[in-house]
Amino acid sequence: MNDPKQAELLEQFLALLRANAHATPPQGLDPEIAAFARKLAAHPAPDAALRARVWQRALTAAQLDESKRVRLNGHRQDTLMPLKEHNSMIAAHATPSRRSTPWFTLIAAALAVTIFGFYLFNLRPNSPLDPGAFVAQQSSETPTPAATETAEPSLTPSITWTPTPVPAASEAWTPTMVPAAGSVSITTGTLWHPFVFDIHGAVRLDAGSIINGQLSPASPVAGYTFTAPSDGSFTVYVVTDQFQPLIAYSAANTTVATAATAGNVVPLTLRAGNNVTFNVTSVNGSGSGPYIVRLEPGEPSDVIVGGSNQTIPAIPPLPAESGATVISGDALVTAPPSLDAQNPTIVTLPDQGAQAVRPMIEQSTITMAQPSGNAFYVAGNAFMDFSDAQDMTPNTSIDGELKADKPFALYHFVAPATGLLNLHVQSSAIADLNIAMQFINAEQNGGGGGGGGGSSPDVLKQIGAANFVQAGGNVYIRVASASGQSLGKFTLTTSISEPKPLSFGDSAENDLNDKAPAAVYSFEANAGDVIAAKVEGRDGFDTQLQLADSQSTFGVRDDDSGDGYNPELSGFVIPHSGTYYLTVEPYNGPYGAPGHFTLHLTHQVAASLNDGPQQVAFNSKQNSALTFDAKAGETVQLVVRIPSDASAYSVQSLRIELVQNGETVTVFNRGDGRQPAARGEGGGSTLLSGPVTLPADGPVTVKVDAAGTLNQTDSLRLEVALEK
Amino acid sequence: MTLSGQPTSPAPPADAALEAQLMQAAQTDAAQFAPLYERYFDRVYAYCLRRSASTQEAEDLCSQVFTKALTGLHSYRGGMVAAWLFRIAHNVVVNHYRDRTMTVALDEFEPTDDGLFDQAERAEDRRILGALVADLPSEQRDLLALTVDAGLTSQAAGDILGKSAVAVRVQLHRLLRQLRERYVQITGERPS
Repeated sequence: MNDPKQAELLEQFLALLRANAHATPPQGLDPEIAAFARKLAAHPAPDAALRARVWQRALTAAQLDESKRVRLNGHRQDTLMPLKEHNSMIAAHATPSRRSTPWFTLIAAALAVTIFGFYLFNLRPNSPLDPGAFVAQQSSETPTPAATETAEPSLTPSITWTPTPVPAASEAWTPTMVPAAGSVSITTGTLWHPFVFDIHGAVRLDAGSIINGQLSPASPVAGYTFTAPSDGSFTVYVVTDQFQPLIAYSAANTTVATAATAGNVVPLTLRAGNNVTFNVTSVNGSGSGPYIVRLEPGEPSDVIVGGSNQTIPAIPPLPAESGATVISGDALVTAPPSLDAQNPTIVTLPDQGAQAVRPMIEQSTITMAQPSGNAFYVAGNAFMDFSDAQDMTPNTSIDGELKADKPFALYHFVAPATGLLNLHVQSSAIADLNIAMQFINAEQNGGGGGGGGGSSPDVLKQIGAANFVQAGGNVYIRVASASGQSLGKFTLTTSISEPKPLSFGDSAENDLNDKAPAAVYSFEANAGDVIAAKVEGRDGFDTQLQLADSQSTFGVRDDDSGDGYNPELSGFVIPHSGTYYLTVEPYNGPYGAPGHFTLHLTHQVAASLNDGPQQVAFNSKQNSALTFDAKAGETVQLVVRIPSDASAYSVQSLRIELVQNGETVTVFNRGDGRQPAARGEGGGSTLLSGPVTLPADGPVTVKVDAAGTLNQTDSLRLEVALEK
Repeated sequence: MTLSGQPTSPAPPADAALEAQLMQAAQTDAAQFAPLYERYFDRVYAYCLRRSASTQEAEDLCSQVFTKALTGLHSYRGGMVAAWLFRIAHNVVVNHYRDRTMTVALDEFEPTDDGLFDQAERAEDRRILGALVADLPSEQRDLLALTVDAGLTSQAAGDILGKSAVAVRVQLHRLLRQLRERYVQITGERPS
């Protein structure tokens, strides 16, 4: 066959395919090549959400880049700015569901949860956040004129997980906070210091963890470890007002770091299934003081707001004539603490340098918008004080009204039982209902929050939310409109779904509807138990399943790991003995689509390594657990290899956790989820081999997580063995 | 440079002259780049997806490409926007993967409205094809991505790769033949 002629015809065909995926090949083109070219050129069309998200990210990054270049007087200086730094637009353009979920409801719910969640976070006793301290922190840095910088270190955005070199001593920078002369922005100067990665004694985090930490001159670095357990992303926030925090982790034998670039909050995004062990330290290496590590599902929220990423859909009118406080320049960082809907603050940012604004969320929930140009409208409702909350009786309804002089309503009651608190608000007048809830347990030392909302063109508006509460705890509820502008009467209904006990092997059926917006079940389990829970929806009823412990110290949520759209948790290793709760709700949340489901809870038997090597097979949604009996003081060699009958794998990450009596004995952690941890040369290749000394007699659970790639149509399998 | 707004309803430029006009407008107001973004997003994303390990990474790369495009509007000196844009994309990807090993994610199953069986079959196809492409030398992967995914002509791809149009055309044809042979070996099936 004439190659040049065929090559020409192939090019013609590719051009035709670009216009029409079903185009007929030009006459004379080898039909087999044509068929293969058609297959190769077939792409899943990117959805509109992705398109919008990429655009927004590019715009934001371009703005930052532009302002940096101007700031630095022509000297380019890359910053440790995570690619996911401004994701409000991501929320606003969340991938359209395959279902018909009203997107605006999801947006508003996510926004409400984010804002309120962060508010709750800051409301905790002894919160280190303080706007005054924040200002002091900014000004205490020693400015180094950017024009004197000559080094051009290649610090790339860390979230791309690009190996980032630590500057050699000769290249080390003087810690630099670029002065924001004439600008209100909080600058993104890169601070750096030689850093020794230390993961010794890393503290295990789970989704939802909130951990208090303390750096001191004697202990300037702390280690944490976390595995993103299922679909979606997770974000670690480190928050402090005592030092500029930095998260560092190791990838490909290189230390990578992401530092707080605006405000003393630094996010690190972990994608599904990623394992990461990271350090918390300060950018100058000598910071000390308390901080909080918080791990949340999702991408970084709008803790740091900047550029054009404002997403509040209902932009209030710019109240320039309404006596608004107008501030500009550095005044922003000393903005008056009281922000409310009646006294909004206009912040005019200069043409360049409008990088980041950190609202003082201790004082108010903040809604921000960018009505035009670089002018930000900052407004909020001073609802943070629940002291005048109206007491209401749980499991009842109450009528309320949002008025111009008080566009929100606060309620309080003591939870009469442990269970799922369902909140429901109806209104024929308020177009963008928003509800938020805070729960503080009876010991006043823990709790949680949540909320939801949305705008609706329907005549009868309603929203709902459900959150777990414990008997004796204080429940605080806030009803408002998302915009703060919509007023009118509403009815709030609360009900608590008490958990129904389940045993292993049990199945439970239930209907979900507006009267039973979610169902909750409880079961007892011991540390190291391996369990499976799956939901079967009748007639395609699509649900979500959540597993949490009694203290809500972790939460695992699954949507579609089972058959069809059914959720399923499999091979889940119970971390500590106690009561656990399974919650089933519609895919679109409580008060969502109605339907009937069956929940199955089973106790799984893990294969024993005492019987010889065992294989585990993976997909991305399932953990695998093995077990073996150990004697105290015994040292065994744990070996993980590619099965001899498999071809070569490239394993992106590999994490082996050994748990005995509820305590983690050891963790082997290889790879960060992006860099291959190991590439087996073929069947039988050893990926990991290490000694483990067991502290006690009794069964040991071996939890194996891995992700990788393969060049065959096999599933990813690994063989785990014990060698004496 | 002013940046604002969302990409609005796409109004694809009718021809290269209009593209050039839009580029000129974008050089003073970057928001004017939105129609070009609409026009080229799918192709840039397809290019990045072919060159990356996962959809997430493709999104990251794609964002970087358009960031570079927005901040480098002044570097456009006329001519085909596609050539200018994909040169940026090529550089972004090459820099990203320098000293790194490319892998293909295991789970890139993207639900569609099609039947589950067809969906699974296509996902499996994509996975096999992805693995085959991942095994190619970087230069060949780039050739494939620029021509099949980015949709560049042999001439435009050759300009980026430093090859003649004829060389690109012939190499691409050979490459597809080789890939197809390997595909048939693995699946035992001929593409229909």
